[in-house]
Amino acid sequence: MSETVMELKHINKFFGSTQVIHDVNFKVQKGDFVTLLGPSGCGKTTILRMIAGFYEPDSGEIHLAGRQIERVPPYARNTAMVFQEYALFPHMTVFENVAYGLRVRHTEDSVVKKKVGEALELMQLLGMEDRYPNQMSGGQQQRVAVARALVMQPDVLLLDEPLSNLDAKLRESVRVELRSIQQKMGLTTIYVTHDQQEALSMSDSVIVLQKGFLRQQGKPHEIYFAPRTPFVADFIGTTNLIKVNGDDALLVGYDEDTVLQADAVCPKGEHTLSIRPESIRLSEKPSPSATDNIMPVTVVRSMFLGEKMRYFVQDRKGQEWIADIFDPGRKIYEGEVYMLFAADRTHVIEEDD
Amino acid sequence: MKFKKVAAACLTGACLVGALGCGGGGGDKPKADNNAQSLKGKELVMYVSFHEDTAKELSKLFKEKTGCEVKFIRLPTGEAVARLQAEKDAPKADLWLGGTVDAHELMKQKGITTPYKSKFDENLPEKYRDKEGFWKGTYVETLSIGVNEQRFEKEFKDKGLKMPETLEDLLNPAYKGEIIMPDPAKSGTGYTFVSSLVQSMGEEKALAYLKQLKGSVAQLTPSGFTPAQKCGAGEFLITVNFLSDQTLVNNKGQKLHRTVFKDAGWSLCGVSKLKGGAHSAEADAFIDFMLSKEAGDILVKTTNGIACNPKSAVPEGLKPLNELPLFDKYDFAQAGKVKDELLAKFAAL
Amino acid sequence: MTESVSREKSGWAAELKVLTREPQILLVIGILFVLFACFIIYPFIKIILVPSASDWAAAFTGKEFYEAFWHTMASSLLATTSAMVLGFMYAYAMNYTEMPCKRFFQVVALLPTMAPSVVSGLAFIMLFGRRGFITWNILGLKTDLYGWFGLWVVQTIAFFPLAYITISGVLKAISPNLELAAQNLGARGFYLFRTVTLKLATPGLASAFLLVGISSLADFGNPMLVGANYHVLATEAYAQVVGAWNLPMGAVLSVVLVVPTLLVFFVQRYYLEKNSYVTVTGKPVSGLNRVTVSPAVRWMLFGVCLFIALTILLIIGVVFMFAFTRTFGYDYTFTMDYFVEGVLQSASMKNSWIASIATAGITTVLGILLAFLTLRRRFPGRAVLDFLAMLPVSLPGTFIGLALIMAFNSGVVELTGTLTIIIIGMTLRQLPVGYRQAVAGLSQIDKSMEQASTNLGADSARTFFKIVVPMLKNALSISLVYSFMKSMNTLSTVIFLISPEWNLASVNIMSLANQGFLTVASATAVGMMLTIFATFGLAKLLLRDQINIFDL
Repeated sequence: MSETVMELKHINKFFGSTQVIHDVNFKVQKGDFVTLLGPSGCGKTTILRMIAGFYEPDSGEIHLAGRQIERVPPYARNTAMVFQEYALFPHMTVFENVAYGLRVRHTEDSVVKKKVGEALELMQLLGMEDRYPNQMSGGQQQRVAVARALVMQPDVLLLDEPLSNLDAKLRESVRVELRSIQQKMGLTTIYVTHDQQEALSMSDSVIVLQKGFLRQQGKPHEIYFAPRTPFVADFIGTTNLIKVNGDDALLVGYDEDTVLQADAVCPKGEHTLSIRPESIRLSEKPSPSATDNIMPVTVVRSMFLGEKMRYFVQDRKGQEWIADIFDPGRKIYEGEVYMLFAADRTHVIEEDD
Repeated sequence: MKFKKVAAACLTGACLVGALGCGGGGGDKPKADNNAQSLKGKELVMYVSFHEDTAKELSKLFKEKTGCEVKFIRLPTGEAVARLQAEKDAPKADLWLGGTVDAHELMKQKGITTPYKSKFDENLPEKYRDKEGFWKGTYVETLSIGVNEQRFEKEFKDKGLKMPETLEDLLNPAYKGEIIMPDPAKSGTGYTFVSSLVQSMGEEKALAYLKQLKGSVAQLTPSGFTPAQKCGAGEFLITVNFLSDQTLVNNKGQKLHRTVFKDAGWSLCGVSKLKGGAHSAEADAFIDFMLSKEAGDILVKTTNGIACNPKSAVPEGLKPLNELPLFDKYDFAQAGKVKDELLAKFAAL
Repeated sequence: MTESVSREKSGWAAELKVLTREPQILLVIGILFVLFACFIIYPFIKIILVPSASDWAAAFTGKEFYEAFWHTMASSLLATTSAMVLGFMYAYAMNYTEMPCKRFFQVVALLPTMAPSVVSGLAFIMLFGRRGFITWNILGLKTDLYGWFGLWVVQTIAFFPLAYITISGVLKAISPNLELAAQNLGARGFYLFRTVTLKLATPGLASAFLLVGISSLADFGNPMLVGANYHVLATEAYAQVVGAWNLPMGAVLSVVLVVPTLLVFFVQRYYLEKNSYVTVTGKPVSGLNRVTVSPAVRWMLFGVCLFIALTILLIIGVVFMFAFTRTFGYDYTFTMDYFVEGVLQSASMKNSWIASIATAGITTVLGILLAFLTLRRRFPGRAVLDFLAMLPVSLPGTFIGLALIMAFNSGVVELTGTLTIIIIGMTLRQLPVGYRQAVAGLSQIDKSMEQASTNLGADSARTFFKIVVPMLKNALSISLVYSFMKSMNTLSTVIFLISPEWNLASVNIMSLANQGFLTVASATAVGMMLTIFATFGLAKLLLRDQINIFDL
């Protein structure tokens, strides 16, 4: 099914003498929803703007729909973008805002009407054609911004944290809606966010960035369960990162008398394991099994979070762990307990930061 | 000379410095109508440094008399001088009408104008035309003492003062702070006053007089015209400037008692024919016309100056030129030569 | 890596390379540079080169020169100080107190800006001169206020509106929260004023002081009219050029006058603006109530405001009276004669209108274009363009006028005596205003608007006209209205540029007044005010905007 529609090759970007993007490479398949994820300052917006053409890479190539575009001016790229603050033209009505790009292309009036109508219908904005942006709510403005981009039938749709100005409830519903429209239209989309929930829930593919480096690209569950760097592991969700000594075997040494079983062969030398809190179970008795790692710990404190109970526990080495127990009922662990986690949830991180 | 052009350009609109464009006086009645050879269908181009209405009326009458079309561009003296020099090799005009005679003299020396001996030259007294025929005078501006009559009657007569009419009268301490005159450094009128005094009295005496006078003068204005107007308005009692300006104010209803004092300085406006102009015969005819009584009458009517042609009418209430106590020996060239030096001395008083 | 780079591609070469992809922009920038080179840099060089060494020597050895220089400094320092003091009290009263008739005071304070500043000199002569209505007709006093004292009074009145407007902007920009916080900490009354309000306002006030200072240093009309034998540099330069035909000396005096104004400009631009808590053109932050003053102070301020407002009304009133009575003070018969002579029969009002409308249009378009380019595009010489666009703020009008005629009185482009050169002069003078307005407007618009437009396929030109210009409508109409008004009223800039064919109303008012034709001068001034109001009305109809000229 996959056909590469966009590719970034060896992209480097400097602001002054500071390098903000370091040799970034990735491919985007046609129809995919790809998310650029990372904390602020990671370079995700910079990459998006380079794709749109607002910045130029200092080296590297950008290919889109069979063209090499990194030197093409923004208006000739067909990369419609939805801006974080929407950037609706305040002096134009909803209709004129959405029609703007078509008019730039000298589209026939009847076609403009039809296409704008379709886009507005899709975004459930019918009846609001004559309103001005300042007469609309944030959510409605956001829909207009999306409609304005969709109507262009871009080679790639660019979304720059479009949900960050919406309240939490609305954000969730728009998320679902946006994804379904994207899938329905088969629109290749690049989405920028710092919200890992958003990234995991919407994307076909997630690209994690840190300080201008691309750390990992993969499907959401790959990113979550098989992070390639400690940063990725830590940034996506909550995790326990522990240092171990590998010996080219599945078994790794944690301390002098604890050996853990990992999900993959751990090379020789010091390495990091990532164990998700929800993968950990607690038990008052040791109940050994072949697939579980087991370790005695002391509960330091616990926290009730509704759907789960979060425990902070300490092992003999003094390392603090987080363990999430779902559907805990009234059971509360205290004092000395045993901590169990499956070997296939004990992920060996390949690279170091 | 570029600068003068520029300066003059500014000046026109602002008309802050009065009495730059000199009006031309008339000549005798041209022996006359026999020279009205028909110039129908011909045309004449001139630069004019008179006021617009003076130029219009003169051209109109000339056309009536000869049938010749007249085109003119109005340029203040300085600008005209600059343009004439710039166009020296290919003059666009045939004639320069108006402008003070010192400027005409300069054009003569630079070889820009050409002599023309008119059979009507005799219409003008000799001192009002160039001996070699390069320029002819048109009208004369003379300095005068103007006094606001109403104020004098009300405020000064009771004190046993008589109407101030002589230069000595101006020194009376009673008039301290009531005299206004143009600044010699900035106005041609003002300089004419200072330099004619120096030439007539001798430098030492003149400077001594001016020093005393300066103590009584309330304001030295940059414009030659302003003193007459401010005197008319009653702001000041006495003005010393050109008679025509005083007459203008007087005729508007603010009565000024005007006296052309003994050895009063004067200035003359001229007309010259340009070398290499396209319409030589027409230019000659126009100069002839300027020497006529009628042309002089127009000048008198529109400028309040006194025509050089003694037969032309005299502005109402004034005497003809030959009866005025003017300083006949006033030497324009000399005045120009010592200007910087003299102004420095005046400033130091 | 396909190529090895170690830093951002920057510098003029890289910027130029990017620009080549947008030839329209490159072309516009090129044209702007050529225009600036022709109409600012070239005349500037020309006027400096015109005087010879001996002209400089002559100037610096003459006692008149030092006298004029000293007079200029002294009179502008006096007038600026007094105008600032009054302006501050007025602005403080308007922004910090509740007093009766506030709206009335606000409107009255701005009335003088509708007429050339010489009108205050004209009115002063008519009211307090040697034959002034009040001093002579009513009190029978023999006064002579020509000279430094009269000039001081007149300039104080003339620069009061500018001081008031600027200071008001400064005070409005001080966040009321800070004062509330100080009150919360126990400060009140004069202590609060001294430690918070005044402290916060100080850099803004210093800026305002310099702004008013530049204007008064370069003022031309009033020293001409009221200064009499008290000569200042601007009037001396004029007299040298027009009276004595000594252009080099005029140039020397003008260049000398530029030195202090440029100095002030640099201080303002590179020191004060960077150290300011608020910007001079600041916008009101919120509708929070300011702290109020004690009743005693309030009524004292009310008294000051009332006095100033009445003085302004007196000035405008006497101008109207002189314009429409035969001889005010003696013969009160109503007459339209002066109005007919000064306004209806004179081409100068029409000329002024044509030149000012053209200037307003050009200034506004240029301002927006420049702001768009300097704020939103990167290109070599951007800082130079920005500097040149603001520079004329500091150039005395007489200097601009003189430089222009020297540059264009001969040669390939001969413009002396044309309407074009008048418009060029006015445009130079007003450009900083239009530019500043546009910069302020554009700074408030998020960049993403334009990016959205380009992203949707529009090129720079389309983005500029369809997105930037419409969104700047407000800034645009303010700039239009303001530069029109200023151009109508400007005197010093055009005094050297007019010609017999293209005489202007503001010059007419001055020269008529200077020659003592007070009635016709008054009538022309009235005509000027009416013309400006009528044009505002027209502009409101056409632009259908909500611009209120009294909110400028």
